[in-house]
Amino acid sequence: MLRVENVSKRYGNIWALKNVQMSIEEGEYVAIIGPSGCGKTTLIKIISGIEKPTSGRIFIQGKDVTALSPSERKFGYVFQNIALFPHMPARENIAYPLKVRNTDKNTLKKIVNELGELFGLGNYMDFYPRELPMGTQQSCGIARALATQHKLMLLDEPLSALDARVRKKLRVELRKFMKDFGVTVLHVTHDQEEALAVADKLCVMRSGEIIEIGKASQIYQQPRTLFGAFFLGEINFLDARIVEKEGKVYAETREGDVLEINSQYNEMRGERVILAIRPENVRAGDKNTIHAKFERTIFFGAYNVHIFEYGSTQIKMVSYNLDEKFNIGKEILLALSPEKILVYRIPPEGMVGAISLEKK
Amino acid sequence: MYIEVKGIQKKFGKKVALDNVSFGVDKGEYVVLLGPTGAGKTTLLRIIAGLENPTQGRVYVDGCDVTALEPEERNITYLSQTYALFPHMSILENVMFARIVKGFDKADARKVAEEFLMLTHLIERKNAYPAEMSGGMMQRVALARALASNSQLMLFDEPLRALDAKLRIMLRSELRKIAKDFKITVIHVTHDEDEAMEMGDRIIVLRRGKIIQDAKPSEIYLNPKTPFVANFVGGGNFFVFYVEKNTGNELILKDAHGRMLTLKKNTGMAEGTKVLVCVRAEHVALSREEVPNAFYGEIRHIHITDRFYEIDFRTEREYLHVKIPLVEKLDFEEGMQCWAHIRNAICFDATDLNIVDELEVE
Repeated sequence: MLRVENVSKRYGNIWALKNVQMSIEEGEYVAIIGPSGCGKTTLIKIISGIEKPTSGRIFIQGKDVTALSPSERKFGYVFQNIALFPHMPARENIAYPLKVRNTDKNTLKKIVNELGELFGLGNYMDFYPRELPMGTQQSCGIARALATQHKLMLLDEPLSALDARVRKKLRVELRKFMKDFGVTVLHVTHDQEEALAVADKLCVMRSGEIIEIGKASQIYQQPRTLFGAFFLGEINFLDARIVEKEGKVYAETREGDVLEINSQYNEMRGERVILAIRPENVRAGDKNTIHAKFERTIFFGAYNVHIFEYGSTQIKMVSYNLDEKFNIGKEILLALSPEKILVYRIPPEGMVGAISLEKK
Repeated sequence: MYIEVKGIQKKFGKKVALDNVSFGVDKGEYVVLLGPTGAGKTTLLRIIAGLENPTQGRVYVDGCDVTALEPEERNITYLSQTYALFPHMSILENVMFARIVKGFDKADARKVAEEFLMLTHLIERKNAYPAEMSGGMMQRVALARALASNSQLMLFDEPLRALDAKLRIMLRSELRKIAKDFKITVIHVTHDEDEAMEMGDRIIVLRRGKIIQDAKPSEIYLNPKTPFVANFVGGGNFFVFYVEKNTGNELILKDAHGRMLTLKKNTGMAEGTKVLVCVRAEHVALSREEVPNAFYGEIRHIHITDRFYEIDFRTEREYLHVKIPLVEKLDFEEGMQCWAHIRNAICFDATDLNIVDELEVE
C-alpha cells in the first residue's frame, strides 16, 4: 500500500532522514515512534507530500507519487493540532471532504450520519468545534479524515494534545475504527505506550534512521539495539563482562554476581557488555540471582514497582502480587532468568550516548 | 500543618470555579492535585500563589494567614504552564537568575543552576537561548529555574506536560527525588493518573471545583469514593446490576439481561438496589471452561503494553477490557471464544446517580 524507498532529507548541513526504507501492507496499522528530532515528523511530511525528499521515492498503491502534490496523493490526514474548520459545526466538518468531491446529497448524508454514530458524536453533530471537549474535537477530526474514503490514513501525533485519560480512551477507539474501516494506517507518535496500544507493526526511529522494525511484541521482547530496549517500555541495565567457566559462558556483573545467560551470546566471551532485563522479568528468587538492597515501592494500582539498589545501579521489579512486600534496607536475592536477559556490546558512543534522547 | 487551605470559594461572574475547597499539606509532603481539564486545579494553585483572590476562604502558610499578601511576599515558587523565560538570556543565565534575585552570589548560582540543568537533562544545551529550544526543553528550563529558586514551597502546574512521553516518565521519579532530597513541599497539578500515582504522597481528586477524594494513592485506587474517581484513576469496565440477594458477606447481583454476579462484599445494600459495578481490567481473567461469575464472548484484539497483554473482549452486550500480566503464558488468540471471569469488583450504590454524567472525564 505504501512504500518508502531510500528516502533522505537534508536541511542545510543536517540530515534529518538517512536512507529510510519501509513499507506498509494493505490494512496494516504501523506506528513510528522516536524522541523529538528523530525525523519521524519529517518522514510523515514527505510521505504526505508537504515536504520533498532530497533523494528517494514514495509509492502509494504501487504508483510513484514522489512528484505529486499532497492533494493528488489520496490519503486522509489527522494533525496533532486539531484542525477543524471553526466556522462549521461538526457535521459540516465531517461532510467537507465529501462536498469538495461533489458526492451526491443522499450518499453524503448517509456517510456523515454513519460516521457520527460510530464516533458517538450523536448530540454533538450540530455543535461548533469550540463548543466541543478536546477529545470529541479530535474524534471529529478522525471522522473527517475517514470521510475522504481514502484507503491510507496518515496520523501525525493525533492524540498528543489531549488529556491523559481521554488519550487512553481514544487510542483504543482509534484502532477499532481504523480496523473496522479496513484502512491502512501510518501513525506517528513519541508515546511508546500509545504506539504499543494501536499498532500491528512498529518502527523505532533515531537520528534520522529506522533502527528497529517489526511486531510490537517482538521489538519489546527482543530489541535489536540498546536504544530500542531503552525507548520502548522500561528496562534495567547492568554493566557486566562475559566470562567463561568450565567451557560455559556467564555474565559477571560489575558488582560481582555471576549469571547464566543464553548460549547465543557465546561469541562475546571476554567482552565488556550491558545486560538488559525488563522489570516484569525480575523476581525474588534463588536461581541465577543478584544481591540487591530494597529501597521503596511505588504502587500503580494493578501492580507494584519495587525499587532496589544494586551497587550504583537502580533495579526495578514489577510485581503483580500486591501482597509481596520487602523491608527497607534489606538485602534481597533477585532472580533473573537466563532466557530473559538481553546482552549488548558496549557501543562506540558509550552507554550514555547510546540511550541519549537528544539529537546527535 | 504547613499549608492550610480553608473553605476556598472562587466565582468568575456567576460561574463557580471552586466550591468550598479545604485541605492541608504537611512540611515536606508531595501532594498532587488530579482532575480533568476545567476542574479548577490551576485556579486553586493560582490562589495559593496569590495570583488570584478567592471569593471566600483563607490560605495559611506556616501558620500565617497569607490571603491578603502579594505573590512576592509569600516566598512561594509557582511554575505555570507558560514558562516566561527571558529570551535574551542563555539557558544557564535564566536558571541562575532565579537564584541571584534571592540574594545568592554568582558562583553559588552557577553551581546550583548547572546541577539542576544536569537533573533536567539539559546541561549540554546550557549556552543555548530559549528561541532555539523546543517546548519540552523550555518546560525543563522553567522547571530547573523553579528548583534553583531555593523556595521551600513549590507549586507546579503540569510541569511535565510538554515533554515527550519517555522523558516525562523518567522525570517523574527524578523530580520527586529532588523534592524529597531538598525537603521541598510541593503541590503538583496534573491530569495524568500515572504521574499522580507515582509522584504523590497524597492525591487530591478535584472535579468541577470540588474535592471528591483526598487520600494516599493506594487508597484512591483500592477504595475510590465515587465512580468518577474509579474511572479517572485506573479506569475499568462499568456495569449496572441490581441486588438480588445480600447475605451479609456475599452480594448476589443480577443485570437487566438476567446475568448474575456474586461478589464477596460486606455492604448494607438492600435487595433491589441499583448498583454500578466497576471491574478493573486486571480483575478479569480468561478461561476456556465455563466458571461462575463469567461472561461468554470472543477475543477481538490482543496487544502488549509494557506490563500487560491488553485484550478487547466482546460479549454479546459489551466490550470488556482485560489485562493479563506479561509474565503469564497467554494461551489465547484473537478470534477465540471463551469466558471472561470477573474475579473482583468495586460496587457503588447507583440509586441517585446520573451514571453517564458521573463517568464523564472531560
